[in-house]
Amino acid sequence: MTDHSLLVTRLMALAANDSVFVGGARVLSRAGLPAPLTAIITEIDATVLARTLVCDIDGAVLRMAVAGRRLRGLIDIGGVAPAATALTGRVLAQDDIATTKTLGVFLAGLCKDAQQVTVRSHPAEPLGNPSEAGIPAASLAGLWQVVDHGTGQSRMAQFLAGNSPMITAFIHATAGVTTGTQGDTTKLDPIWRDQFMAFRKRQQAIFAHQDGPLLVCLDGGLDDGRAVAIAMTGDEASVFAYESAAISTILTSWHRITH
Amino acid sequence: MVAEALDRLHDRHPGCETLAFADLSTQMVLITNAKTTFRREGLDSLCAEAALAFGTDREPAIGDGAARTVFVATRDHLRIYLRSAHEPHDVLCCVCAHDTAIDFFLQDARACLETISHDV
Repeated sequence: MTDHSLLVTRLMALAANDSVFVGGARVLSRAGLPAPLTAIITEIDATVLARTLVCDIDGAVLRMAVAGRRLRGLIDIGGVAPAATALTGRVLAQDDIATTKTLGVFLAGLCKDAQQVTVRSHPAEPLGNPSEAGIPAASLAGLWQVVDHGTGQSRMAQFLAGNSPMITAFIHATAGVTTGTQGDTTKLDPIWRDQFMAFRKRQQAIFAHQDGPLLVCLDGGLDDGRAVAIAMTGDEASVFAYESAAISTILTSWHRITH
Repeated sequence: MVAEALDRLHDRHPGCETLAFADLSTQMVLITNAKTTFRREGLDSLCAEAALAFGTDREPAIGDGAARTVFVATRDHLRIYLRSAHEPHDVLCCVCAHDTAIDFFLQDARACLETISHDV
């Protein structure tokens, strides 16, 4: 450690009221609290300036390029099987969600029984093209199905999964990025692409002081007679087709999850 | 007659505090139940939201079909909009509590709407 980085570490320790440090690294999670993967995402979300976050997960050391509250990618990994290095050295992209999901599976495996996760914040190192922004922390939470309220799934994911017999197809997005689909979304794609935000803006103009979760269900909203709905809570959104006879159950479920 | 029909519907479903019969072609609420707590601006907003949600024949706001019933669940209310089967411009705007017995209410509300729409 250089004198400069030692000074930074000491200043960070002084600035952090409740943080615990081990060997100069800040403890993000210990004995599973808070949930390790959630803690890592939270750390990414708190990182605005370009930095290299060095996360130590029970001896597996990941160096992550982070900037603008986004994970740009893994620079390298140490202390794990060589196969994992296939995930390193490239910038995560929104048009290649599969790679981000694979990384999520890998991290979830590392974090599953992790006893201690620590982080050090180092100066940024180059990774890929600087114009490639990576994936927002908010989207990572959805893509990796983390763990909003200790339930193991985000609210929207809970809602969609909990009503899966009645919801025949859906598009689920977090922070504007599609994080999951199910069923035949042919009819839902144009709603998500062309109608969702326009409707939301016009609806907000009508009820200007309304905020919080919103669910709009249209019985017969699709020309094949199916019912369709849009939903949003926090930075999550979904478009889904549902069995119209199940409207009472769907409304009750939505109310329970969002209140 | 129309006012009485709305009041009867409210009596059967007191959790639905506001019941307003509206004309989408003019986007005007024509009459409400007597005990509504909504003022004129609030009623105008209900009508505007109904018009937005049902869209037009050429341009539905959501999807590509002609919806007959729309449910808008917010933090505070459940708003239900029903469109008449015979007069597509006639709608019933309902502001209900979240614990409303939906299936029971829909059955009564649709019958009420079709009666009013036929009589007016």
